[in-house]
Amino acid sequence: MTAATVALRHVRPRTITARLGGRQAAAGIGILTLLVLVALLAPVLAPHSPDAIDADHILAGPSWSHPFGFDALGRDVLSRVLFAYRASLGVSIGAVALALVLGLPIGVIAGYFGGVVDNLLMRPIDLLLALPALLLAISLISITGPGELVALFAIATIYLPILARVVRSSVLAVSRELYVEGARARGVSHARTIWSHVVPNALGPAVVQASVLAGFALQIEAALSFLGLGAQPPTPSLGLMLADGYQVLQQAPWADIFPGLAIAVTVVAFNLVGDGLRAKLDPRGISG
Amino acid sequence: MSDVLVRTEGLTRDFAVGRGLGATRTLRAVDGVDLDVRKGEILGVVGESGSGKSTLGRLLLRLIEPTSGRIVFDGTDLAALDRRALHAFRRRAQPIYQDPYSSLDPRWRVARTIREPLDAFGIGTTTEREARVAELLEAVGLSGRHGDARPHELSGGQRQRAAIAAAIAPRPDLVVADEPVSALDVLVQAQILNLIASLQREFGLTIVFITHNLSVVEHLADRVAVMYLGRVVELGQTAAVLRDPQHPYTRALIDSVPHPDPARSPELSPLRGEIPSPIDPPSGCRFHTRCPIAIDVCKSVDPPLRADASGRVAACHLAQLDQHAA
Amino acid sequence: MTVLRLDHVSVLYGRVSAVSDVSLAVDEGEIFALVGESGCGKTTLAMAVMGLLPRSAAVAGTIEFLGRDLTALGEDERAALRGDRISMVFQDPASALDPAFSVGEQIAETIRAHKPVGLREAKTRAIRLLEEVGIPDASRRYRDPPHRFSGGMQQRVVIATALANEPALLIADEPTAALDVTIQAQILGLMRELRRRHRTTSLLIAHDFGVVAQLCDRAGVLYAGQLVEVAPVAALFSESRHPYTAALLGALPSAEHARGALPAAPGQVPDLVSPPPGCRFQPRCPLRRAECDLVPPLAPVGDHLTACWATPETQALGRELAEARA
Repeated sequence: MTAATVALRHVRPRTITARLGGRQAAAGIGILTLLVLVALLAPVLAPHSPDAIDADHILAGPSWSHPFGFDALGRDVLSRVLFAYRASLGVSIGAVALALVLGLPIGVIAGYFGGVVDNLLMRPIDLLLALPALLLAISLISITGPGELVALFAIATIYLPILARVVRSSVLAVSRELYVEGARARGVSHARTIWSHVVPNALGPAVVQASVLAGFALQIEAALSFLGLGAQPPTPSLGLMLADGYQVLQQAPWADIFPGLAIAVTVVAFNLVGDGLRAKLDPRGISG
Repeated sequence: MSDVLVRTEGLTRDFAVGRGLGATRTLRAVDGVDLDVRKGEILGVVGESGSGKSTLGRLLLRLIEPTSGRIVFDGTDLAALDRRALHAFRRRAQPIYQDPYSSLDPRWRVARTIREPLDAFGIGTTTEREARVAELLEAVGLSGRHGDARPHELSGGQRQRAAIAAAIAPRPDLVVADEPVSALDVLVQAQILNLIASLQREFGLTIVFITHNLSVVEHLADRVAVMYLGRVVELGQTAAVLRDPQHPYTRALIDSVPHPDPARSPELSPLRGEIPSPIDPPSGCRFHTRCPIAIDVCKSVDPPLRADASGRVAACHLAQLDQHAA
Repeated sequence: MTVLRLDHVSVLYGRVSAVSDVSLAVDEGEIFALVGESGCGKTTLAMAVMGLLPRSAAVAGTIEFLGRDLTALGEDERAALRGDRISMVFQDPASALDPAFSVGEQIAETIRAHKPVGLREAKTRAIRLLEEVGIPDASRRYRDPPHRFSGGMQQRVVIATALANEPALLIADEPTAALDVTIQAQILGLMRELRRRHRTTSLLIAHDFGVVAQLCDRAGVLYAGQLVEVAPVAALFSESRHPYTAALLGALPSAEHARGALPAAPGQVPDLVSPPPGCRFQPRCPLRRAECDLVPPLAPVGDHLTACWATPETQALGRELAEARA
């Protein structure tokens, strides 16, 4: 057979967008790793106790020893941001992880088997999707009372249908690929086909969506706290800090700007990771 | 009868087709097909879009279930198979698809895809499987380097070679190849056709070769079945069917192929009209709306498949077959 | 008169040499075919003429249309030519038509984009065009959106749109490749008829030699971006001079070759990032010789223009050049 000697085809050089995507993902992951480290090490990094009140420095501006200044109660904003960030990031990542853990199998099974199974699984999910997200969270909290864990569950409830839908639609597309039918012809069981062909190829869009949603979760958590429905004082929370800082924005903008910046940077990092992954996860190296 | 590997009897498959809100209609993709596939032959199945040829192929592999009718594989009714028996059947019947890009998992190195059936069917020990993969790669004209590549790193021809290796890995008796060379360029197509022919000889494969390309059928197939709107309208030895078609659709199909020979005058009266929708097929003979020789009876009476002594079969009221067989 | 003249045209996509030093002329009233396998540069050339190449493509050489160098024109001037003096028919009619507008409006819009005519006049002309391409009941169907038409009928609409402004050059990129064979025969018939009536100069991109033989006057064969042979269609098919053309024609499946014995040229199309020096077909060529490392000129050989050192006419020169280099 002469073709045995034939060279491998030249692999198409990665497109500019894919390369950019790679750099984007790297930047996003870099920032995110840093942020997670900061959150984890908050007790070590924080120069002061987040609850220590210095009555002499109420609303005092940034200084060398207090780079983010003081809030309306004379607490160190930097230390509070660090602790609040730790809580908020925990809630957002936890919520997305929980939604993914529940939504992934639902979406995969619904998408792969289709028909009745699909209807049985997805109709209740659709119902969840039909309810306004924030309203859903608020009513959940009104039943259980506020708190960080409740915020986590509320956000997971909002995200579950979104992620299940994303997974289902990408599984649906992958299941139509001939290598899935081919695997069946090659004697591979449904479970194995799902595990080794369907999930790896369908996971991309879900991971992308999840990373973007994680960024948004931070905002939802902040919004819930801002409304007094998330973390309760005196627990430091970015949303609470925004709410309090808002009152004194004119005199002491640092009390509001720094927690806001923390949210913004995180959302951007998650989005960078999402966009980057979108390009990276395509095995052909073509973003699409 | 021992020379028949697969026999279908009244094989029919419907699909529900959504039309607007709620209302579904039935598309009969394959309609009462009786077909024998003989051991060791290459049976060409030709037809245009909507002819049901691909659905027939998937039915033969039992990748989809028939709505009615039977498929008897090597003496056993496929409908009667339990899980274990179905698994055993899968080993004996393998597909090759048109688009090897879609039939190979983009994340898998092709050696892993070729190995997949060996693992799934528990063929050989782990080391034997490794050796077998290497053998298979060589049999289809690829090297170990190609085995380590992912599909996007290979050319179209190399991908199809890899897909063929995966199909013959479990040593099947039957291969259903659905347009396996249609996406390939002429020179690559010739290489792959040669490969399929040599593997068929070497392994004694029975091949159902589905295609729209009559030239490929002429070159490769022992017998040919011509399909139109879910039915087999003509069946016989390839050379006989192509030389002297009995069904006007077969005739039109042959005449429609533009010949790479400018001296041959082009077909001046191509078949008129469009291929009707299989959702709403014409009454009587399904071809009568486009048939150049249709008579009144064709509009109301569905012509049965009639066979002559030589095994030529055609479904046409006007076919010049010997009338002594049914 | 020469309508289109390509002079030493090369196209680079980054490091990929998609078209290499192609020169050819299309005369008024003729249908000129560009034939070759995928990746040979035929569509790239068509796009270069249309001015529709992506920005990343670098075009060298001149593309003269009715005496004007298109490569020297600004984007606005080129856009003014498209759909008016130069128009195009694509392979997939479904994506060439806008699903949101009726077929008639799309034709009328094409007319009004280039000609100072009123809505009513444009509509009358559009209906006349629809009738001409064989759309039954054209004045009623004017209002129908594309999805109400079958693939064959959509392609008729696309052809009508392309002819709307009586272009001086029609470029058709695989106009029948997506169609079923009986529908393809209808469209080929229509194109022959339109050609008889309008004598529109056309550049046809095709991979199917049958289509070329039935429709075209002259053909140019491309391999890996190089133009290897140009000849009147009859001469090309009866007596191809370039070994690649011969390989292509010889590899067409037919009953003439024993099963599995198609003369398939070994190897595969070269990587266009680092193509072989000289003639790009040389690694696969049965007539390969030392001078093949030099690009052979497109030299007259009988009725043909052939770029090969192995013809009687070019052998001596090739040897001389090779010796001079050594």
